[in-house]
Amino acid sequence: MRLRPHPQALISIHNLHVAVLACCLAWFAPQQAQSASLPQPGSLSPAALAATPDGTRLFIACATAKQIAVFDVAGGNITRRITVPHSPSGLALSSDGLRLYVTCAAPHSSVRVLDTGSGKTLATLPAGHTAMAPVLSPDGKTLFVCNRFNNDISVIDLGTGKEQCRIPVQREPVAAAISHDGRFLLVANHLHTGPADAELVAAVVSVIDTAARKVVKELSLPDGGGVLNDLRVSPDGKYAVVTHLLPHFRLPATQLDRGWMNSNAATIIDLARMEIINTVLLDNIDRGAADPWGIAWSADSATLLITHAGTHEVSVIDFAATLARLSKMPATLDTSKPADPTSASRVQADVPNDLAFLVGVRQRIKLPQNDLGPRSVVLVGRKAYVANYFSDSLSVVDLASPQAKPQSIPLSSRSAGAGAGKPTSPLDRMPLARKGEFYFHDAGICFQGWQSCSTCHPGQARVDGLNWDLLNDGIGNPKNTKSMLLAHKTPPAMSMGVRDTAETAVRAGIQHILFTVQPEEVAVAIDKYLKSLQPVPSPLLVNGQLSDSARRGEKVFKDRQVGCAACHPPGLFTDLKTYDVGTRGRFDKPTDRFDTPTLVEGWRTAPYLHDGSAATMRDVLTTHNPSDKHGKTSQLTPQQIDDLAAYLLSL
Amino acid sequence: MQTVPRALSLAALVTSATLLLSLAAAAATGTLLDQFRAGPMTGVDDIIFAARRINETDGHWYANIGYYAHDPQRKAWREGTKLYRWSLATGKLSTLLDDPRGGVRDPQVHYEGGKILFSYRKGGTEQYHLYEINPDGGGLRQLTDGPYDDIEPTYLPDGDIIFVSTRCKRWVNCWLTQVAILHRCDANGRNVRPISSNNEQDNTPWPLPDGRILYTRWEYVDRSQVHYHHLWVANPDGTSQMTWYGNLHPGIVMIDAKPIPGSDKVVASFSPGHGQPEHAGQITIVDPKAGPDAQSFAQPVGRGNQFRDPWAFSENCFMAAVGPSLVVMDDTGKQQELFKLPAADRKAGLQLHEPRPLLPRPRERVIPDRVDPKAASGRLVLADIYDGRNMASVKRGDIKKLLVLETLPMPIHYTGGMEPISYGGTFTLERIVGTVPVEEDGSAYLELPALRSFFFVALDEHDLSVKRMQSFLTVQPGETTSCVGCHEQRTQTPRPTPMPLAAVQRPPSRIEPIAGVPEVIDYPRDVQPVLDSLCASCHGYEKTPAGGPRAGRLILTGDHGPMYSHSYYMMTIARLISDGRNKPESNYAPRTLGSSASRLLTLLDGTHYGVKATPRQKQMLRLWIESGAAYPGTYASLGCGMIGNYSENQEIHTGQDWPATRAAAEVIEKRCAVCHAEPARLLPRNLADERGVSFWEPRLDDPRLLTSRHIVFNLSRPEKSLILLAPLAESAGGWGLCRDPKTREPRTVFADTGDPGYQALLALCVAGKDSLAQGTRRFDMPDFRPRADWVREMKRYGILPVDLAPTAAIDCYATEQKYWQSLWYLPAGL
Repeated sequence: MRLRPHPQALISIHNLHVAVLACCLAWFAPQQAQSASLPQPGSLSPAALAATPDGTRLFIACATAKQIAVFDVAGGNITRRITVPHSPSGLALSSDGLRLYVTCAAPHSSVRVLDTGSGKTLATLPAGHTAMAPVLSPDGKTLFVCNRFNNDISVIDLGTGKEQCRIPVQREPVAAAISHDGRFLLVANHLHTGPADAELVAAVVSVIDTAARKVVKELSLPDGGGVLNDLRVSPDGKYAVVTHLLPHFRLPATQLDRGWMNSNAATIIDLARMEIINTVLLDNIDRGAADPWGIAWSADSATLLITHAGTHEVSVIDFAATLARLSKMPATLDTSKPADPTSASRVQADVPNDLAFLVGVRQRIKLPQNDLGPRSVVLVGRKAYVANYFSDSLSVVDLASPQAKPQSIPLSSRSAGAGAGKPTSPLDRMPLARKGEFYFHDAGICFQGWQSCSTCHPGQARVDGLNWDLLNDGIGNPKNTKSMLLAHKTPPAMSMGVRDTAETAVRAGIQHILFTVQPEEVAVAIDKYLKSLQPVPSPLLVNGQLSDSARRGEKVFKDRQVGCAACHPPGLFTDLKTYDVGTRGRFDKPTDRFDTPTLVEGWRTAPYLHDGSAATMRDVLTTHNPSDKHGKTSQLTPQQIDDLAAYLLSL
Repeated sequence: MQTVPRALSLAALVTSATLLLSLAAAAATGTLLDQFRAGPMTGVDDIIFAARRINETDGHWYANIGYYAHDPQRKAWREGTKLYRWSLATGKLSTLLDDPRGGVRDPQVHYEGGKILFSYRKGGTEQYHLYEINPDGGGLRQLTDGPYDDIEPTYLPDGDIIFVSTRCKRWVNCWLTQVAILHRCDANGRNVRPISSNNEQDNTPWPLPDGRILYTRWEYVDRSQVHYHHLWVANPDGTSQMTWYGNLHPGIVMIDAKPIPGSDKVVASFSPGHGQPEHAGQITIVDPKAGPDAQSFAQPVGRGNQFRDPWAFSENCFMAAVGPSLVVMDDTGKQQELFKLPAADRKAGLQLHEPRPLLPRPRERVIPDRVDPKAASGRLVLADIYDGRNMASVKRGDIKKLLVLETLPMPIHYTGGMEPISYGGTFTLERIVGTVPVEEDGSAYLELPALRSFFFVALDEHDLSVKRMQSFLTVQPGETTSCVGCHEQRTQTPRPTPMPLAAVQRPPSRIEPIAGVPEVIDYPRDVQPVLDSLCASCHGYEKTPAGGPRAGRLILTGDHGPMYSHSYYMMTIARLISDGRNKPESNYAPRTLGSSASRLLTLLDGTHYGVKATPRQKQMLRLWIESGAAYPGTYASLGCGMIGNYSENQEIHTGQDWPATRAAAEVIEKRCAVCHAEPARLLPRNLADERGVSFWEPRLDDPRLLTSRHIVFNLSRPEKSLILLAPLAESAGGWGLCRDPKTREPRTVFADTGDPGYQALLALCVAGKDSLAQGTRRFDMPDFRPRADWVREMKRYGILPVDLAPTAAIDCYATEQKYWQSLWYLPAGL
């Protein structure tokens, strides 16, 4: 059975007039979970893990199966499957191990409180849009939940079951962890918020004072830093580590070698000082470690585990040794001493560019061949359990015997393969769209594993908020990453329309961005996956409907005097043509024209315009439209501008 | 392609009883091989290898193809070869190919295990070509042909083949054999194209699991000829050429490198020093993850440096050839001999080479082709020239442009030295291509002609050298690449830069030629006139009001010495110019190489006795220095027009058998050696006498250089020889320079020119002059004619007509320009 609540939302270009109506119906009606994970019939998609304090059981959040699987560690099998209403996106276990808090992600998310003994639901708590990463306060009285698309944190009093407040953070909070004294909640913002052509373009970790219930500090990653995936505090309470990408987006994308486009990183935070100690790269000089995701600490805080979702590996890092190396690094160069010309790190500031920094203190462990898409990881004693999103399996890595090969445990009868014969590839069992989703997230098809499609198009093929200087439209004219949503329905592709269709762009991307040659079936599967993407309802909708402001804005939008709808006609919200709307920047040629983008899901694709120069929709309508070429907006009142922006951000 | 009848069918294969004996030892339980066959060598039943004779008279690893420069009848290869298949399981030795006059080398088993690619010189023919053969000895198929050697082939995962070939028409810049560089062809040996522009050998390409080609690149751009042959990588289309391991540290031929299954590491033969015959060396595991410069990440396996062609089954299981034997070895160096060539082969001098398991193996990743064969050029983005490993003293904004130089291929060479190209400096002529701008932010964006060997000198606002590259880069047609690993630390990712780089906001810079300056500077033609007009009045042989003769003991005239001109030699030994020398050093501090470190230029800025060069003169001197400060501007100068030059490292044309030489030697012995007795003051006994000074690597602070043969004999104006002027009394027109070494009192050796001693020495100089005039003339002399070997090769390359009359005049400069231009990449149809 295919979970597609509103199949009419699929738009056919050949049948546009029908589609227009259908779309409106679809997007403004409440939808089921259609957010962080794509519905994939028959798959489990283990996305989060929690282990009981005694280490006997694991809870596995199976995102696309809407279930929590209870895994018996000794028996090595699933003993119970608990159904939850929406895609389970995050788990938190009470310190006594009796209660499991499950964020169920949807436009109107909830938190299920489960009795870990009986599996029964004890309570259902409210949460925001696409809730994830639940965190319990040390006293167990408060639950913090990241509302990814509300860009805020719910503070829920577990005594009353009521949400006490929302604390705004920057953008798409996806992971959080709390200091041992409960004073500070650290929140990983998935993406940056500014224009893409700023001097510093970086996502931040928001530090929330839990008593004051507000952000008191923002820890900025190095330039380019973004696509944060996990954040965990060490068991000794001294450090936090966050996984993220460290793209080098300011250079022409001529090659991948030595991290030229994307490098993959972890940033270490000193919790006592609440400062970033440094950022270390997880790649090797000629082998990338794409898409770092989940984090786990050993109980003694000496070992740090990081999964690589793109290369299907786990990094085992001697954290104590890493810290020792970092602490020896001077802040400034002592010019009286001869410098070692072979060392990339001579001062602290060099470390985030050093592909050899972890050499000798980190082991990269390749997961079993059929374990694909490792995301969450937990440590039970010296055994690491890794949840593999695409293969519906667990990998078990025994840190006590580093020579031993990691074991693979299937989580469903399907992932166990047919019969007792040779294990078949999980790819053989995937429907085409699921296969495409896997390839899209697979750095195994990239030269040296530096990146996957999802590296620049995270969050189900959306955006990283960065400008990239791809060579397909010349050099020196970087363009903001576009979302792949509706890409196949809105040809041509790329900001200047240099690819006639999304199909062409997919194949060009494989060749020129992943620098690889793949069989046509890979591109066909990716096409299928991208075509299956559904818009996520805007967080600005009120009960699935346009807000009053947005309704007013809709009128402005359709006002012929303003002229938005002429080129962005409702439906696809693009006429598929290229224009000069006065948005050319200093790097564009005087003859450059830009493809009219769809406005659907514009609420999550900031920054805007082909060069990412407009941080907000308001900027698009005001400061970036000085000559009224991009619609006539100069005559609009501030209220009308707000209303129009509200409408645009509701699509 | 034709089938060669020499191929033997399996039915005709011979099994030798002696082999079964050697197998019996291996079959005993618990041997290393038993352990390996139960582990990493599971499934390995057969080994393929070549047997052939090696060139016993030439120790260079590459000297096994083609012929020697001075005698096409003298071959670097030997006759007698077999391609064998040996069964580990049964001990049966099968002869897949037997050619008593031929040569077989470099077999590689196809991915599916169904055929073997190898290089084969058929008995009775001159050249190696690529062939395939079935593992049963059938189906021999010739893939390539032509008057070139094609060796060291490797299959590519997309079906093509990469190999090295002498189709590049060039010779080792410091030896008398030919160069082979990376080429690519399709599965049928068609569509051959070069993917390298190296002037020296590329060797043993092999794909890495990630699809790149790992190979050995030997190069020396203004650094030692015998120290830089390390591991490089390139994409299979030749794009993204970059260092992989070793290039910063001199020494060791790192060769025969292949990935170790199940790891990121590589096993290679580390052939010590400048390498051993057939690249025998120490089996070494290289781990790349700490970067190309981390020496401790190359770990030898066991002891001994006579292993050839190592093959890794795992990180602790290796196979290699040693002499006539096949051995396996574990990671501790424990080894077992598996097999020895039959006695008859050994008696015939055959050795065992290139053992490979007959086994299917996984295809490597395919890297998409980025070459556009229709493009004549590629583009290079340099992110930040100030981000370097040794750039600390350079202020941002100091660098204004890049001087683009091209290191020119050599049509022929005769010895291990560089004479007369330079005295202990460059071996290679460097062509001045032009300049490109560097932006304020340190970025540059330039268009470079494809498939040529370029290097850069960063210039400041006065066009003086800030930093000099001592390697070269190549772009492929249509490639756009960015600088990785040239300026920044090797394990570093790109540092934050402004966006976008200033240089890429405009079209790529085309190289701006430098007007009025020859592409290749010829010292006697272009530089000496500047010295004649500015310097020679004081630093000459004539007494002048300005201060001559020999002011400051410096001679800057263009008179011929036995090899160089006096001024060329003096400028070198007086360190008036700064170049890289033939030294195992690189990555010099800023402004220590080239024009900015050359005193010659500061001496001509008006501060030295008011002598001031015109801008034009200064430019000529500056560019001469930047382009390697060579003496001739043509390779036709090699091997001729010298006395006491070298051929195959032996001095020739010494003049030792001339009566004048014997007579002069007696005078020097009796009249001069009385004072010139200490080693430091010893005088040459003849025109070829180096007096123990290394010709290859003279130390420029060696006091003996001041009285060497290169300066004391004047073969243009014999009476102006220092060896005559110094001892001759001033009253007789001499300089009366001789002093008693103890008392420092003047000591007149020759009171007048009638002294028989004087006459004997003069006669030697005259004989030297006559020899140059009558024998092989020097390149800057009228009626100069290049060596017949140079002419022969130019005919072979199609540059000179095959029927050129023996006496026909040859413009060697124009001919050589035509030669290197003929090697330029031109898209089809252009």
